[in-house]
Amino acid sequence: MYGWEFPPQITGGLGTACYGITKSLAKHNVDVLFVVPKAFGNEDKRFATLQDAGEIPVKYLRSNAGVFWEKVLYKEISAKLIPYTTPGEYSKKVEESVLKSSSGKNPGEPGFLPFSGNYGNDLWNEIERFSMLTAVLAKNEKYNIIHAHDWMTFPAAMEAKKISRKPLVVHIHATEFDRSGRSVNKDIFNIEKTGMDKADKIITVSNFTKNILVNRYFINPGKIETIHNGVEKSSQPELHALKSIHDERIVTFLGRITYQKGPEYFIEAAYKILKKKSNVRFVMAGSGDLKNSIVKHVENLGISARVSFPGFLNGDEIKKLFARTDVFVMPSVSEPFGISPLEALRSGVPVIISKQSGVSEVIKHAIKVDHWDTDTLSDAIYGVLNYRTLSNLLKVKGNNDLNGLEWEKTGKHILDVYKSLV
Amino acid sequence: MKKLGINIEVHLPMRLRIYRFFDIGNNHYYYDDYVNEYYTRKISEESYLPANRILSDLIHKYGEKIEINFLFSGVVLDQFELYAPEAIESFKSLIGAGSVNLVSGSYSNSFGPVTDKAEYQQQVNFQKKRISALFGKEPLDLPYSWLNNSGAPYKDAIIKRENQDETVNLFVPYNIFGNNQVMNSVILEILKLFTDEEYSKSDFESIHTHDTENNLLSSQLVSFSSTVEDKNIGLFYASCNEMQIDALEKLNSIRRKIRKCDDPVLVKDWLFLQSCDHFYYMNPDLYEDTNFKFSFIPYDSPYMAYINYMNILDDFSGRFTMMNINEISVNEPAMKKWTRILKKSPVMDLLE
Repeated sequence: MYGWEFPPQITGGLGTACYGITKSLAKHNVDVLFVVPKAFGNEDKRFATLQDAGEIPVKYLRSNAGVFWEKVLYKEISAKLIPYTTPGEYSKKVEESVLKSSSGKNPGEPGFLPFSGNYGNDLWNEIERFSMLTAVLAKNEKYNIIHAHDWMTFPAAMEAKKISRKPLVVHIHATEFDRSGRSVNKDIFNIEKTGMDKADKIITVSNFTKNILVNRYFINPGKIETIHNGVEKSSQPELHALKSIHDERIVTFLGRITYQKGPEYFIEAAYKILKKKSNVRFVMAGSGDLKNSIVKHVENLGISARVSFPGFLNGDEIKKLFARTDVFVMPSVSEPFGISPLEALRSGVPVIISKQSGVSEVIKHAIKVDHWDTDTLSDAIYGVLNYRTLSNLLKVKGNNDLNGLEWEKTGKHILDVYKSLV
Repeated sequence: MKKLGINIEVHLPMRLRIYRFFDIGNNHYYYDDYVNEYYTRKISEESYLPANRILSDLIHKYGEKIEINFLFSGVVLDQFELYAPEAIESFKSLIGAGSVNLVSGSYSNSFGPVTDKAEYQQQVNFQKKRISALFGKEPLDLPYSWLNNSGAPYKDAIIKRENQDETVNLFVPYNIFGNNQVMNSVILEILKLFTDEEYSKSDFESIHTHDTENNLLSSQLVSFSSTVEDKNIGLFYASCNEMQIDALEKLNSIRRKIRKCDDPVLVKDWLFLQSCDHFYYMNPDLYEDTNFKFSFIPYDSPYMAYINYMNILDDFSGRFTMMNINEISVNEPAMKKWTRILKKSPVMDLLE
């Protein structure tokens, strides 16, 4: 299994989903070797063997680098996302990093490739290095299935399939259309599509995503299996929330502050509500490329005193925030699944979610709105804050909806897909 | 069997517009004029007028063997006068043909005495005055009444046999005459009754007038004797969900205020707001059943139905706390609409 992140070092839902999947597969007696660019040491390794790509010994680097270089395509990369690389620069970079890591070792002796495991400037290089390693892994490890999560791992997974001839399952947690709307990165789109075409089976996290694959990537729907994500059961009862001591009501947004998550709609709804009701605080927990412009927008609207930006929160901090939250809002523009509203429900928080999301397929007791409809969104938020009966109903029944969203079910379904291929 | 009683209930709620929290305190007009006009005209042309013609034929053919009882809500008469006056004419001529009675009931098609006896009586008085004034005929007080199950509109016609006087009573919600197929099947059933003595031994029976298997919201026929009432109240509340009960309690809290009020606009709003249809939309089952073709559902979810209604009640309740009742409708266009409604169906007459 190839992934790009694993808890607790996560940026979003992808890592959480990967953990849930590996855990449930383990329960169904599937052995998983989970390869990530970088392991940080504090991961829960009970359910899968975690392989840090930076610790895979690679021999004969200098001659291999040349071989691999032939396979690397020259790409023009958009300046917004990743730095421009010329072929000459690229091979120089590889050799440099090889030299750095081997530090003092002679050619022919095993060395290691460096990985940061993040989504930074070096992303394209890391993806290429990641795929280089599959040759090593593919030869040395024994496995029946290759399972790749999202586009960053596709080059690696396709290499593995070529070398081992084992069946390939690609798992789509998000597409370029979800992330970027109209300004889709062509290179990423190509990698996504190639991966899907070369795969033997595709798993999507929702029917919403399946439709995108059919309509935008022209994939045969018969090849796609929708397997909804689950949610971890909480270990302690979380329904008894610590509500605020003051009269202040709290409305929470949890997610990356980026186009895909619809942060502007959250702020617009906040503005409408604050005109009528002042003792409400809007919390935007997360960080992202739009954060600064949102903060500015909030200032311009004159509601800075009522909007908080605590930044990226870890698991415990999120639980504490949920304990004080009166209503959770997910106004995503295009959300393939969306685990966070499930986590909110688990903490006894009523949720309002975008209709343009995968998770709306699995929760019954939530208010679902079109993400752009800030009148309905603000009316729904106000309704949940104002009418106690509604809030209680959504809390209790929404929490019950979580029964049936166990990761075990997801794992079983994935196992069935594996069985159909082997 | 000696006689067939066809009991027909005619009601259309005054549909609410989308009313946001920011309208509370600012806008006191709660109705969706476009939808009300569209729907009233549509159902009048497609259902009521054709059905009236068929009934007229039946009366011609069977004369004394048939008795038709119409239960009109006051609200539907308001809508006819505003948007489809030809429907009034059609009913008038049918009533004039003989064998047709008018029956008393609540003005709003509300939940009836189950929720508030005194209120129900008041509404019945209003309705009777309205009907007398409009049709020139005093409505009868019949010993039964339609009791909605959580405010659901009826989907089926029901037959009840009164074995003592060999009358078969057929209860029909007039809305089901949505298409010719339905009308034909009901008429066929009616004819069967006249020809087949052994039609059925049971007291109640449903005629399935459309294709869904599971009738989630069948109506209950209740006779009003005091012994049955408490049980009905319990049953009724047990069948309601938390949102419906909460909204009913809010209505109750406003009831005391409205009793002291004689402002025609407020009284009219009060009557329009009590239609059980508004509560019906707060039932989640409605949004699951994709076969609900007869009902027009103005909301996306029961939660938005509840929020919309509660926002309106919030504003309505707030109007009573205003010092000067003449300052209620500051909004000019709203006042114009109100004048039109009040002209057509003056409330002051009802209040005398």
